[in-house]
Amino acid sequence: MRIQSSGNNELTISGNIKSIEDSSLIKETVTALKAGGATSLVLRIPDSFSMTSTVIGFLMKLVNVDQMRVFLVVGDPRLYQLLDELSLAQAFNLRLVEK
Amino acid sequence: MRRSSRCLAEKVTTMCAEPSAGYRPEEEAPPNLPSCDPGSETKSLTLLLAEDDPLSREMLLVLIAGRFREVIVSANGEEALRLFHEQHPDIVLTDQVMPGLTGLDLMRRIRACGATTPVILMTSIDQKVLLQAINLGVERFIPKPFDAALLIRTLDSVARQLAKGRLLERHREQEVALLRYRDAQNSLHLELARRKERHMVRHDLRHQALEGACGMRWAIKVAYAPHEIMCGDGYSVRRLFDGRQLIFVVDAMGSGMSASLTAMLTTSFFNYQVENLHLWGSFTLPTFLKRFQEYLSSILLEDEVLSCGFFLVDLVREEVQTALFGLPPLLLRSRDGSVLKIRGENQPLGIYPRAVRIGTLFLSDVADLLVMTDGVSDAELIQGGSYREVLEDDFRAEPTLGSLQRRFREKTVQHALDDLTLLHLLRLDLDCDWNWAGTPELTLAGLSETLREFLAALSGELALRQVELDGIEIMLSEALLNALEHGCLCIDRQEKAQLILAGEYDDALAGMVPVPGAQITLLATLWRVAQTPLLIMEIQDNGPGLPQDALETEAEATSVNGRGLQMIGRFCDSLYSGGPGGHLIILKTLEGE
Repeated sequence: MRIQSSGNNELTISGNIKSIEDSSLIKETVTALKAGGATSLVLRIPDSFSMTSTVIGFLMKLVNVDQMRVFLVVGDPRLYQLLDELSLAQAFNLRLVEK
Repeated sequence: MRRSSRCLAEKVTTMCAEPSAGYRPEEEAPPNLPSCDPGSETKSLTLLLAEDDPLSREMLLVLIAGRFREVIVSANGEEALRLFHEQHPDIVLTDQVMPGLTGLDLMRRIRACGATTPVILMTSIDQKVLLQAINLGVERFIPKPFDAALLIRTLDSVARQLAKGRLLERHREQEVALLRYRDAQNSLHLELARRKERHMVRHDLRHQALEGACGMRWAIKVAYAPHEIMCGDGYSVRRLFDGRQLIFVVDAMGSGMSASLTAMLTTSFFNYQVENLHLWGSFTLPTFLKRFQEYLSSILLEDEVLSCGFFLVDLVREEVQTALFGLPPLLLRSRDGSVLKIRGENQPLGIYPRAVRIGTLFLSDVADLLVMTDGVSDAELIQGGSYREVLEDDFRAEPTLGSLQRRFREKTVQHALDDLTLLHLLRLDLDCDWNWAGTPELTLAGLSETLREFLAALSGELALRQVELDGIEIMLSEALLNALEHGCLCIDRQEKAQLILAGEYDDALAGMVPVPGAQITLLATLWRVAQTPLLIMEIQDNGPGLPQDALETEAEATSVNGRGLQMIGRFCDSLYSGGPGGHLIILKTLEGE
């Protein structure tokens, strides 16, 4: 998994989000953006078919506690379905786009 | 210019009720003039009258007095058009020859704005005018000079038609509203029925590993897929007071409500009996069946039969007593992979009592056992024929219910399916030719390292696609992290949520010291007797173990934690908890490259 940053509030995560390290890296990168003053976050995830529960919990905290607007743009329908089934589509402003 | 119906009605009433001396309305009225009692159809309508000639206009007003709720009067076409747009009359009665806009012009302008209001045109016989009027959709003509009786009849007729049309429209709207209401009611009733059905089918051991002889573990998994909400299948898997399991699988004859009633009544009776078994002096399957038959004879119709099966499972003695009544043959796989088909001992049950034959299956050499209703065996294959033709081969190939279901879905015509129930009794301790064990250091890095080692070892043993490896990594990351948090650091769900919300979770995890003696073990085995390899992964810790409902409940949508097990469930075939301590058993079939 690789994370690429563009602008002060946009990250692109390539590859699958699958491991404990992946979760930690995502959390650290987003936390750094937030510390830099970002009040919203655009997360592009073109490849991953899943997301760890740790990352989901972290994003939930960003939305509900830190009042950060999160925009999730995913490319794999399985990830879209997962987040939709967990009733998170609205909270994460979820969009499915073609890869 | 406007005349209210009240004003005109008064005039007419005066004429009719208080005639001057010698005044006889019947004689005064033209011979064919209908009675001056206004028609009920016209009374609720508004008429727009366009007539430039004052005398004709007055005559018309007298004639139609009291017939309409309101008469809007205009002296020319332009005024009529304006009043039409302002007042939206129900009927237009217009003269053809008027200064400015003619009757035809008026009609044309009315139609141009899309209005379908009936227009009655008063005109002398002029073929060209008539033709144009017809093309514009004129409702009726009144030849000039007009005949009063004809005029009244025409107005009544048009009003009647209009009223009928409106009535019809109202009925249609009411019908649609009624249908919507009924639809909503039906949906509500069906949803309540579904809830009831779900409440009646029971599985006491859904995610539990069951211990049998010599510490051998087993699991019972059920796939229950009603084709309709009220379905003819039912099942119940119950743990008995003496540690054995009693299982009931039922497929009621026919379909729809009647079959569903039978399935639910019998399932409900089965559950009731099981819950009261401890009150029986001694419990035996024959006695249980005798009572069941007695009950059944009181609820079945003469021509009804019931296919069902009873399974009394004793894992300690490694045997299952079976009483099968018209169910498709059971499939039993030995530990060496050979598959045996076991036919039922009895006909389907009816209202007439029959001697019941009970069989016994010995489990010491059994890997798994499959029970199904005929919705599975009779399902239509896409290439034609029924699924029973390939069922045995598929069972031989697939070690879990999940993977067998995938094959079933690929091969059968999905829209033509009946109710389906599949029950799988599976040994969890299988004779495996590949084992792996690891004990990670109790840090995030330690867990990751062990996971990497395991994935490398597995890849060395079996060629797997990256997507399969990723799926395994996702499941084990969740499971190992759970074991660390809950089993070794003793952070419960609520505490974890508080730490995440406070933004202190990562620091806490890094700073906390595991409780003395804490340990996580990752064990994995590969069972390759079935065609598709089965990976069994066990994650054990010596913490307090999973809460009883952990595998059944889903996290709240707003919750920041509690989704780990859900995530594992998405990628595995089955998930069971054992004990003591935290003990998760994950089954995953591997397709390989």
